[in-house]
Amino acid sequence: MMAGIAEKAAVKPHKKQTEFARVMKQLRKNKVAMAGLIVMAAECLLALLSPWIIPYDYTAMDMANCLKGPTAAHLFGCDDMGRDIFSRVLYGGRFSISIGIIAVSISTVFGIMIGSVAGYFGGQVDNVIMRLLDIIQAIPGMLLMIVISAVLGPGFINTVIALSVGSIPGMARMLRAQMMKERDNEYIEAAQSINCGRVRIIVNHLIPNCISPLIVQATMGVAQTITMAAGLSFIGLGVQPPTPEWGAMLSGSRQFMRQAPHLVIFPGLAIAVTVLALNLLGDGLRDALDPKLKN
Amino acid sequence: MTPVIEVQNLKKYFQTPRGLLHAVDDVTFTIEAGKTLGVVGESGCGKSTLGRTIIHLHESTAGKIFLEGQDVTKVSGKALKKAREKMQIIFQDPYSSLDPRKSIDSTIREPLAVSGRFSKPEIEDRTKQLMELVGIDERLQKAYPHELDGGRRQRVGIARALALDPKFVVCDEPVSALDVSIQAQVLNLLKKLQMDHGLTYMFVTHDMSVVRHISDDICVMYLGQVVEKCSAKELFKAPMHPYTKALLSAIPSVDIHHPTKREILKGELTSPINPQPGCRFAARCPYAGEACHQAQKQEEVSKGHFVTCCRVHEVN
Amino acid sequence: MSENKTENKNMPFLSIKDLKVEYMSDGQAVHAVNGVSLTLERGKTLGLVGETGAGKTTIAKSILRILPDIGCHIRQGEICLDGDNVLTLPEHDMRKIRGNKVSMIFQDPMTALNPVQRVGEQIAEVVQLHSDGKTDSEARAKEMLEIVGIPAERYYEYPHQFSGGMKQRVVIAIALACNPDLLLADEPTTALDVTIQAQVMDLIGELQKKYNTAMLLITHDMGVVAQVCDDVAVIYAGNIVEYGTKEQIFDHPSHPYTVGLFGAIPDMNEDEIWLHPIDGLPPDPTDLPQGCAFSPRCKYAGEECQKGPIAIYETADGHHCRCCRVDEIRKQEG
Repeated sequence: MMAGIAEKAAVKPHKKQTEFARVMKQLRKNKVAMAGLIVMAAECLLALLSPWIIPYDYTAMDMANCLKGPTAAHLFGCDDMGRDIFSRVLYGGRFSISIGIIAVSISTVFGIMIGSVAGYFGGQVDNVIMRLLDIIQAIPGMLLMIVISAVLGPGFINTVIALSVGSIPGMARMLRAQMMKERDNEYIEAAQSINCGRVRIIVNHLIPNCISPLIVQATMGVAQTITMAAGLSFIGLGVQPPTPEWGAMLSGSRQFMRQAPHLVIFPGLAIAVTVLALNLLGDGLRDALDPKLKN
Repeated sequence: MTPVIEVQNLKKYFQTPRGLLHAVDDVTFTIEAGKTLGVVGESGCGKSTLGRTIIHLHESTAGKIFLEGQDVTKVSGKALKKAREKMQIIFQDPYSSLDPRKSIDSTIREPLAVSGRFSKPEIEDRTKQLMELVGIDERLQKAYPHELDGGRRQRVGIARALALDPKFVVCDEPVSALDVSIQAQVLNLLKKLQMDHGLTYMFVTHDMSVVRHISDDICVMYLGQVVEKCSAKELFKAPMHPYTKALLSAIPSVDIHHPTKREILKGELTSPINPQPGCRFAARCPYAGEACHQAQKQEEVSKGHFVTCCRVHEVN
Repeated sequence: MSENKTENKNMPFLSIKDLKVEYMSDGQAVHAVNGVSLTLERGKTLGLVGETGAGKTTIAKSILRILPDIGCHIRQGEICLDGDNVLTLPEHDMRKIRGNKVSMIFQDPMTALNPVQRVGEQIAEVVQLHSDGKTDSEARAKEMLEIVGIPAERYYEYPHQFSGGMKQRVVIAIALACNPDLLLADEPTTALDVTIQAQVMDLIGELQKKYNTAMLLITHDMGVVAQVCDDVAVIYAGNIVEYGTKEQIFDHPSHPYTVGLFGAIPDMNEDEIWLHPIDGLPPDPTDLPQGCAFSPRCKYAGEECQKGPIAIYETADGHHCRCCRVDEIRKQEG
């Protein structure tokens, strides 16, 4: 009679499967997303190792080869100051990619903090926070970035700040929406019933369960940010020449577009390939994180 | 002996855009140590809200709650923390009551970690003990909820509820989401734990056969009010309230040669928002009369058998 | 096709032969249905009883051919509906059958209705799809609402304005709007309160008698089976383990699983401290045991139970039992 209590049936040997492992497994099935991941990983590696692998110093000027096209010696040719474009594109990856990653990380972190307070407490707190975010979002993104960048001045850190502020409301809203859905779940009530404080509930239980859409948004956001950073540099704000940030390189090459298109093509390709890889990876992550699309 | 739980005139109202929702309206009962009070009723009767209000997941609107003789109605801070450790809850849905991102040992361990009273090795030991107590194989300790079936998940929920050695456990439809054969396993487990540890249960359910099996006393609720309260045997032998009779007759019997004679209720549940005074069951009651629209009183029809119906004597 | 029909007047209306359905999940094959055979006459009700994962819903969806396209294969079998093998019909012909000749009531009324479409329009939709433009679908929809006990004025309301029981009635109205010959009811009352369940089961029974609709009722609730079914099939791990009339199954359950199921239900009339659950857990459908799928949990299991697929033994007048030890068990239990 009491025999039903312990399980007599053989327990299948348990394979520990964390969420991360599951997501990676799903992702591996998506060839296109894996391609994106590999390309990004390669780019990051190249950017990290660039000081040691670039054939020429990225500031070294060789006026004899000014504006010459791709040759065996200079794979991507030289720019108007005789600098090797290949070296500059590789080294510039450090700036462009890190701007993207740092700006998105900042907006994600702040977005999570603001969104969780708004989402968990609701009511007046939520109201006030949302209205403040509304104000920021009411200003067109590009315009906001330009204004902040103009106020703070050019430079790497200032550009990062300008780029991150505009994305914070989007992240915050996303987290808030997820949180409002999750907080009514029974496991949150269970956490309350065992005396978990509010902070513990938010940090330990709610945020880990709400974070999936933000991961996808962050991945795509890096791509967007790189593009926008390039845009800022292009109009003379953000990172300035001679820093080999890809957008700055585009900006500096405007006058030479007709006669020496390679000045524009290679940095432009670098941006395009990066953005494409990130978008494909982001799409793949979105599918992998959605438990309903398991098959 | 002081009863473990005493509830007096407990009320819980929610403010909604459409008006005041009377989820729990003037409920009174006591539960002695080691006993089980079954609370039955259909959707919207307030039984789940009642359980959650007693353990302070909701703040009560009015009335009193006594835990082992102490008034815990309006406790907060440290006192609330202490009280909560003695009153726990097992949830209905084994799928949403466990954090999907935490392994099951992490879930079971959490009440111990939060209470701050145990050292790390003590927590590890106790977690192992609890898993053994509810019959979960140690090999599964790092498993995630989605890897387990409903029955095992529910056992995790039970282990979590028992972690801090509570005196009183609200079982909120703990077996409704499980298959019949697994239900029986979990019900046996709950019974055994009650006998071994002297637990007091408030067992909330809509399943009449389960409630009969597990309860000592039963409370029938309808739209927030207790309409009948008596021992389990008595309720099934001699139900008095028209709603109880209809409820019992609606249960499809497994005896094909003696099908139950059914009292079909007409209509649907009326709204618990801004309810009219008087009996809330009157709109569907086959015996309703004029007097039913006045405020109803609870009557002790026989020893320990309470009914809230002005026509109880004519009906029976 | 019509010539077949006159020949097969003696054939049962629905006949499933040796159906095998597999799902692919995470690279592993899930054996959902493993060789199921059953028959159903016009106007009769067959109860398909089993627990979660036994394969009951898969069988119903196979009849309608609404299984997911990706990852789901009907490996073998025949489903004959009024003489036609449904599994070989072109999709075009299947669409004429769904909702018209065969319809389904789904388990969860909360999600079975389109939340952004008016309730009346959802009923009218099924009428429109199967009429030739001659029937006034709105009028028919209003008629169906009245038949299921909902005032016709509520045609214009949205699902969220209805309670669970009423939503299920709307689902029933949709299912019966075109007078189907076969109704597949997948746990139609599980999500409802017991008093509403009684109302809804009565309604289904009434309409079934009125239109002489055959019904395949999927449920895990033996009480509901006792109330409305003529025949009962007990299904475990994708296999029918016992099959017979209601009286045969309820009065003389033969398969250990059926006996266990009845035993695990708390008895309304007895006072027992301990229930009698069936030990262990349902098998993993990706890794079914050799031989009888129930043998790991069966207290009568012997060596021959694990050897190979167990044949069906016909014990008496149409009472089938898939157990090789059924006679010994009968002797033991007296």
